[in-house]
Amino acid sequence: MTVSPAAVRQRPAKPHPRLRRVGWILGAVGVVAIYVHAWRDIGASVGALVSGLGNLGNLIHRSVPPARDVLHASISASIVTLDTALIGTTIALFLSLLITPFAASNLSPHRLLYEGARIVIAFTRTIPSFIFALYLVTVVGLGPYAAALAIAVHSVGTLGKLFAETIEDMEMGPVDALRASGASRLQVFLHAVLPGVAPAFVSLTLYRFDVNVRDSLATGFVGGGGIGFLMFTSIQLFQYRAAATELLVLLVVLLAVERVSTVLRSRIV
Amino acid sequence: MTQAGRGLEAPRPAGAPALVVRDLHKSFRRNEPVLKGIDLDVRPGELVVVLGANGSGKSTLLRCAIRLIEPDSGRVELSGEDITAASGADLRRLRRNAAMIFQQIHLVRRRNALDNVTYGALGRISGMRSLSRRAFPDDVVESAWRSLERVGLAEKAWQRADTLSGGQAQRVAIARALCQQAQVILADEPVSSLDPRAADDVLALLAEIATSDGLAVACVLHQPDLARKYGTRIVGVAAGEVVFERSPTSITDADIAHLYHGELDDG
Repeated sequence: MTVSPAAVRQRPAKPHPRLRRVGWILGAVGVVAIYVHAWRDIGASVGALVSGLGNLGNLIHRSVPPARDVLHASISASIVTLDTALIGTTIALFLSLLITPFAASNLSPHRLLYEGARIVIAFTRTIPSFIFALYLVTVVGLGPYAAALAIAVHSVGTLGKLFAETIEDMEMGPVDALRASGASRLQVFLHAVLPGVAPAFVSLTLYRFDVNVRDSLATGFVGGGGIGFLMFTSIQLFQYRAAATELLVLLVVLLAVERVSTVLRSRIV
Repeated sequence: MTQAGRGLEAPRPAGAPALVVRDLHKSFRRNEPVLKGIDLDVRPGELVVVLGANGSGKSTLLRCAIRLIEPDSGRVELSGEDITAASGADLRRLRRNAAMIFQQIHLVRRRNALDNVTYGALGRISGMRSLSRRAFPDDVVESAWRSLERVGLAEKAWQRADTLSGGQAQRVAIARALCQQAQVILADEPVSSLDPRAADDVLALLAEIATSDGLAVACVLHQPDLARKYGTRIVGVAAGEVVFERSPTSITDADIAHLYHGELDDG
């Protein structure tokens, strides 16, 4: 390899090396400052963790053996949790299917409807379901019904966003073909869009169900019933042996749901 | 481009044209017109081949004709009705007069061949019955079967569209167009994704449909040989203008060279 000196002279200099270095240093100082502030803000201390290890031992000691008498109640409360997630996810599925045609930029009939649908999705998706539950228990009363509604509202946002993105990525050819033959928007949606995206929608909904089972634990803590509520109560009353049983049942249920959801999804796609 | 060749030896069957395009203009970007005042007539029983190089505007012409793309100006009549001013339900009704066939075929992949053919009739199924393919009226299903038989693929009726070969899929798309019961068929490079034999079959089918069903077929093509073999009339388009109209026997190699020379000029 021979390079003439003239060619070397023509190579452009690396742009603004000094400015860039200053930028890096300022950035690094900023990041460190944020971490220092955050560590102090939460009152974090290694000492507290070390001296607290004794408490942890005590906690474990008070949790064994898990209480047998709450086993039956734990299982039926887990089923309530599953029911909450099922009803919540199903309501969300239908509501998202209604909102999705407006929220996908390639199908939306009007800019304003698109923006409206996107605002609904952004709002419901951003706020966690247990926050919705805090409000909904005052509307329909304490219990799993409020939890299911809260999960439904939040999932409209999460499912609606994923559904709309799926439609935006889909192949538009069949849609054009049906439009060209004089089909209406609804006909195009039902016969060209849905068949193309249905497997993805089913998969996304199953995944959402899996997530919603865990979400319905948190809605349980705030009065939504189910195994979450049971555990919250046991810990508040220092009944650690009961809490241990509930935790074990919960673990089995969550692993089972995750497994079933994964297997079903792998069959679809 | 000159218009020297226009009007020479263009055989025209009797009867009013089912597709009339007048002075159609379209540009996607300012000062870069794709269509510069195209005129085109297609009469029942004709297979008019629109021949031209890449970027000559011929696909845009077909899409503008049913307003999948909005033309800037000009007029399009389908079966005597002006489609250019229509909107909403009126536009959908007028679109039913022209069936489109695409290069990429565009069947709904996860549905079987018969369902795909019935989708051609969606425009004339009204109300609730159009919402599920299981509720489609019997006469629509019957016409879908007949269309599928017409293209020789009745035995593939229950096969999913994504399992058909390219040639079979395009014939199903033609059946879908037939099931639409339009007077005009617009075919946009219908054989560009097919092997030569399937290409020949598809064009033979389109030509046969034009003559025996009396449909007006406008077909955009890249292949001069197929145009000569199956076209009843050949319209050359270059740089957004019609540069000649010829019968398949009178078209010369010089005419064709002229079209593709235009492509070089455009860069």
